[in-house]
Amino acid sequence: MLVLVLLVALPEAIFACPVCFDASAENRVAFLKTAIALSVLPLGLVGGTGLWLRKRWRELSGESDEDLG
Amino acid sequence: MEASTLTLARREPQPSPQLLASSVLGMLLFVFTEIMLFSGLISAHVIFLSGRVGEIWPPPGQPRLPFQETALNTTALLVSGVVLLIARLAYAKSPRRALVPMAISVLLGAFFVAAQGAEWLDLIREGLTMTSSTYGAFFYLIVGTHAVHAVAAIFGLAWAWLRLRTGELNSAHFDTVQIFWYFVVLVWPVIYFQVYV
Repeated sequence: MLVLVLLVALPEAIFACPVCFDASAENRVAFLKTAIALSVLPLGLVGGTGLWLRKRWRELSGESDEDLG
Repeated sequence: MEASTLTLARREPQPSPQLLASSVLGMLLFVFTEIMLFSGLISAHVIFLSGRVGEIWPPPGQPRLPFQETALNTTALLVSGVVLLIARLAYAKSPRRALVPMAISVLLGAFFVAAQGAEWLDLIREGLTMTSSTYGAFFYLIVGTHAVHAVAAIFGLAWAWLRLRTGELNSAHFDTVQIFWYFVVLVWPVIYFQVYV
């Protein structure tokens, strides 16, 4: 029974995989590159903004200290 | 007596310096989400094209996208971004001096959208629609999403220009609309070279 269920369900599972039915090298590389880009991009945006805000905070804090001094 | 005065002065809470205006921060966060939206659309296009290597692309029977004609629109949009930068520098010296360059920037942006609209009409007449092929679907989805952003940004710039004319535009509001316009300007070359080539 289990074997029958697997035999029925497995082809569907394979077609659900985007690179399984079209496993050309170009397609796999495109998936890899876009996955990396979409993973790194938000981290870069948020991290870059965080670093810029930190730099700006230090600059403004330095100016405030100089004003007090 | 002198020492205690100094101690009291040091304990006084100092107001935290404002790093950037709330409207600017809000626009930056919004632009980040829009960057992710366009990245997703462009990624889908890249993956789709990678599965069509060796096939004829664009598909037979579908019109070719006007790469050279769109170069003029692209130039107008890029120049608009540069002129807006000039407007911001002029605003820093004297707000009234930003009126003319900002108006030029808005007009160049409007020209871009109008030229894109004319291009769309030609392509629809030639048979390229959302449902004619995946090629058409990707084109209208990606370029159309950009056009919606361009129109919204032009309205933002026009609103800022009207406020500038009446002397009510502050630098935070200027920066806010400016960030949105730069996003529209800078994302376009990526779309242009990805979709039109």
